[in-house]
Amino acid sequence: MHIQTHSDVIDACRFCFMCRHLDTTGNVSFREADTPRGRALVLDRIRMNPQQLANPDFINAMYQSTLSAACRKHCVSHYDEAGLVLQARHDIVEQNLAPDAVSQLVQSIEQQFAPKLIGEGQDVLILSTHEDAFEHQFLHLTGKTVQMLHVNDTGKTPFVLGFWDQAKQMAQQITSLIKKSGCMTVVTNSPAAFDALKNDYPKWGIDWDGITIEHSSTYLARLVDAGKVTLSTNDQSVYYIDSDYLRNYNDIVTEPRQLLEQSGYQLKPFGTNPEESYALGEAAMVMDQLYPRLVELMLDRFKNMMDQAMDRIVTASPYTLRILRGAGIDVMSLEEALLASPANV
Amino acid sequence: MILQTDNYHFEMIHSELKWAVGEENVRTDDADKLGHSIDYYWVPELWHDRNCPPQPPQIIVTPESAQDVAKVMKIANNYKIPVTPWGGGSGSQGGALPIYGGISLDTKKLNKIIEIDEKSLTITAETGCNMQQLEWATEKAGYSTMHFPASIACATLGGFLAHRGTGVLSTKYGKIEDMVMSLEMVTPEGEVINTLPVPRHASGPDLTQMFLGSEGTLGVMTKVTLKIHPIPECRKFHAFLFKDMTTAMAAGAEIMTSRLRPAVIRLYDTPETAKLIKKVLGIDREGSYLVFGFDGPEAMVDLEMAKACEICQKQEPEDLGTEMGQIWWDNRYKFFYPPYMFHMPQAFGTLDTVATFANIENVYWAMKKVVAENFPQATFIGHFSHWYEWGCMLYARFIIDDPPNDPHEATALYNKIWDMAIRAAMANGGVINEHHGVGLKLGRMMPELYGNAFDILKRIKKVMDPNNIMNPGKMGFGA
Ligand SMILES: Cc1cc2nc3c(=O)[nH]c(=O)nc-3n(C[C@H](O)[C@H](O)[C@H](O)COP(=O)(O)OP(=O)(O)OC[C@H]3O[C@@H](n4cnc5c(N)ncnc54)[C@H](O)[C@@H]3O)c2cc1C
Ligand code: SF4
Repeated sequence: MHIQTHSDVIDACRFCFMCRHLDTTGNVSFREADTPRGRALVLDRIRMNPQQLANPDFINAMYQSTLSAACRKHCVSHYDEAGLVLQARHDIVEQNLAPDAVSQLVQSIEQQFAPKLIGEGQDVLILSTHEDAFEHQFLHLTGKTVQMLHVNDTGKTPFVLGFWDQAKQMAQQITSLIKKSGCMTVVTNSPAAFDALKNDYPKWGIDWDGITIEHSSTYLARLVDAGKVTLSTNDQSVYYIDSDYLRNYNDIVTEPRQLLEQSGYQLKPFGTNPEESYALGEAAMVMDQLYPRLVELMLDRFKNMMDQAMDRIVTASPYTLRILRGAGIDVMSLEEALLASPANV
Repeated sequence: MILQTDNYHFEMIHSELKWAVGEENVRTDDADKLGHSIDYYWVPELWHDRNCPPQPPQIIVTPESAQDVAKVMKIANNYKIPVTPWGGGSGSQGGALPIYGGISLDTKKLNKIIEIDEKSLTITAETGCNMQQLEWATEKAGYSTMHFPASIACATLGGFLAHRGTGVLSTKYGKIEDMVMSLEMVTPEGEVINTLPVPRHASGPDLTQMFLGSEGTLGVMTKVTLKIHPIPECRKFHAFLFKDMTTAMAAGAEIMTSRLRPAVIRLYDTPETAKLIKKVLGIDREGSYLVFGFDGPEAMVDLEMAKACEICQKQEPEDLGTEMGQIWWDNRYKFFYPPYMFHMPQAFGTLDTVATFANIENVYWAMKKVVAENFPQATFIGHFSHWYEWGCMLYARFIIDDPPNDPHEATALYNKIWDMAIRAAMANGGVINEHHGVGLKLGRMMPELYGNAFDILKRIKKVMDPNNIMNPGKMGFGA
């Protein structure tokens, strides 16, 4: 079984309680099963009794995880509990045990998968998984020539749902288009897409041949530092909500904040602590489609964490932005926040 | 009544509970039941590790208010179904294990912070609050509970109340029972009651203190008012390495009996200094490591710190300075994370005991002797964690690297070590225990500990819980 690759994590987490306060699902479901300990206990049972993988309650516990990796980041030894859950989902899919809703979602992503290159610029390839490609406008400020690659998914969603073969096929198609573009820098403002290209693809044997993969926040931060982009001043105060994929998977914590500060925003700490994930299930990619009730509860928790006289919220995660906006919360994407600063409007 | 799940009567009770507290709050999910069958007690962990069948509850209920709890209690009392409160499940004594099945009453949805009273410096909160989340919220308001147990991230406020828990700064700020102003409690018969609003009074015996430490056997604590504190201007630490535990103990005791007011003192015996202080803090020295800290206005802290250092210097220890003290504070929770914490396949137990300064060293040596003489396969280490004007707590541990593979044999050996070590402690004036509680693990010792006074406790239990539905099998009350 694939979970055996993470046996050290099962051994460490199954009797450990030390990060349960940061489990994004556990903090709203209040189930013991929705903590790293709870999931490791389940997987330990399965490790000892493989037939128990078919237990629908055990399968559900694996899919309910937001994979936010806040626990992994907190853990003194950084045991890869999120990685363990991914392996478990892989096992579930390989044994044809995936819930129907999960299989159908992956099917529809595959059906809509039609990546296409637009433009001819040779400096930078902008990879966009959603409509608003604000980086494009930033790049005009720098005089770079760009090409766009539109995709509905980088393979990240099938991957986190356990459909690794499908994910790898999508990755190969995207990689060949990127290479065909001739650009040696790929920038995306989707943290999930960034993580897929940066971390997942190389694990699947993809060699970038010197191509650099960047998230728009680090890319812009470099341009600003090099004096190529000037961000103007702004005196609003805002709360920055970290993306799980940026903070917990790639340690990108300072750059988005630095950009906002350089743009004149005063940053206020959101909630009561800097460790919890407030991204509302971003790393699970389709949490809102598979577990709408849990996302509703996460939103309730988010609202409880908001200060009374709330200033605006900024997030680098398009997923989190969509969920917050859908709930009527005043929120801007990182790019909107930076473009809204007077000199760039 | 032992509840069977495969019959229509179970379905009736299941439905009744759902009507009472809502569908979402009644669960029979196998994954969740597995989580509720293992707490931080080594024996259920061993049971799981050896692939023995789990002993889960039949139903998990997550009430959202004291009224919900009352409804659940009434149903359970009507059918005489066991109810075992479950907070974070981080208790080390098996207290939250539903050993007779029935309902696991998970308190985590009782998580509202009701009020911070800035005039009196108190906070009122529901007992299912995760302690770290509660502390963060208190800090955001500019205060602190000053309750910093190593399990702050995983245990609930109610769990600490139920076990009379303690935190690192207990020497100045007290154990949880010193922090409590008043309690709301749901009795086993489903009545919501409140204790008096202040902890100091002359209105008869104190009900608050009677419920604290009752480990879910007398009812469910649902709400509490706690003292809170301003964030101190500074907090400073200092560490020394003594040639042995006895000289270090003399220094620690003198700091306390001279009535200085450290927030924390911690003293590690020589084997633990060699084993854990080296592994976790990287201080690789022979001797007995002692650290203390003071907090408050800087001028006062500096003065008390200087006095405490003066006391220590009399024993001619090696002065490790402030940095080696600060490093301990910064890493105080690291000891409890894998791989620093003892873990399977090791067998280990914390022989938590408390005694006066006159007795505490005798307790240590008596336990150590009994373990060494009877269980040569076990290592015995210890540190002295929580200090009072009159004595301190011994956090002794035994560790067996390679316990028997057979779970029955391993459990029998484990129980035997506990029996002998705890009896040795009690014979030397030790009390089991200071903050971990009794639970399933030590229930059998209660009549010995209390003598004929235990009958009074049993009678209180009988009056409060005539059908014995609350956490049966724990605290020595029987099933
Ligand atoms: C890594 C680690 C470190 C630890 N360090 C410390 C420490 O520094 N200090 C310390 O004191 N303890 C420590 N402990 C032990 C443990 O955290 C405490 O005993 C804690 O009080 C248990 O709280 P819980 O919410 O997990 O309770 P549980 O384990 O769920 O329950 C404990 C007992 O309390 C009862 N109970 C729970 N909630 C209620 C309620 N609302 N009303 C009535 N009864 C209730 C249960 O039935 C059970 O008998 C540690 C444990 C771990 C795992
Ligand atoms: S991730 Fe680390 S802290 Fe969390 S349960 Fe696992 S070992 Fe413990």
